[in-house]
Amino acid sequence: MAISTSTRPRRRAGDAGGDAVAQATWGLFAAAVLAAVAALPAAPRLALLPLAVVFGWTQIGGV
Amino acid sequence: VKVAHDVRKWIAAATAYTVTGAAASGAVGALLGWAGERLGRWPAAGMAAWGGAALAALLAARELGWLPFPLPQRRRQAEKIWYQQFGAVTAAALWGLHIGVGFHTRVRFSGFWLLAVLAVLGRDPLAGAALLVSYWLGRALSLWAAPRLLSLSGAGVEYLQAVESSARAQRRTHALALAVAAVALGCATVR
Repeated sequence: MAISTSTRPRRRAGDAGGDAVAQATWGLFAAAVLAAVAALPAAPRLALLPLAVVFGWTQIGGV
Repeated sequence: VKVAHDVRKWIAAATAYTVTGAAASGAVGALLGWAGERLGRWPAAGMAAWGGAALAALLAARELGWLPFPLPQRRRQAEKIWYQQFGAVTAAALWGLHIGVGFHTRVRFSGFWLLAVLAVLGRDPLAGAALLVSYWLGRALSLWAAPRLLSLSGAGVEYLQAVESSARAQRRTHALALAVAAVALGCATVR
């Protein structure tokens, strides 16, 4: 019988899915910051809109 | 055929959820902007922007765990029974209306409250609506992205399980977005 000697903690089934969600979150954040920086000189109010999208996205699973 | 039918139903339900939620968020944002208009000239625009920047910084500190405090909120969730009562598409439309209001259900992180305060301080119903509709579009985007994210992960797990597993990244990203908002609002005051 093969016995595992690995000392690494086993990843839970949801971790791979969690990694994909986390990567999408960071990607959305990076895009939002770029959009906010682009909008800031001309229209500071518009700079908040992409950040508002990030606030909404990160409520994911909150209902 | 059954799968194609289910996909169509999913798209109809997701669309209904997105549209009714945007309508509810827009109405609430416009109402907050209208309430801000009633405040008259107080506070002055520069003071309002500084206040917004200070609030954003405070909330960022909260999300980073440096300054823990509870958020005002109703700890309610969307009514799951609507699915049995009305079917998928109508229930999704009702969930959109219910959750889109923002104040009716649980608020996980604090950015919603920053947007609500900014909608009032902006004293412009259209700007208030734009802020809260943007927030809603972010919420709805997480629904539309779910099938793609699950297929990328290749894990075949439940979406909410995957979301729970990414909770730390969500909180950090939220905190950073609040910090960027604080800087943007600060920049707005020196223009």
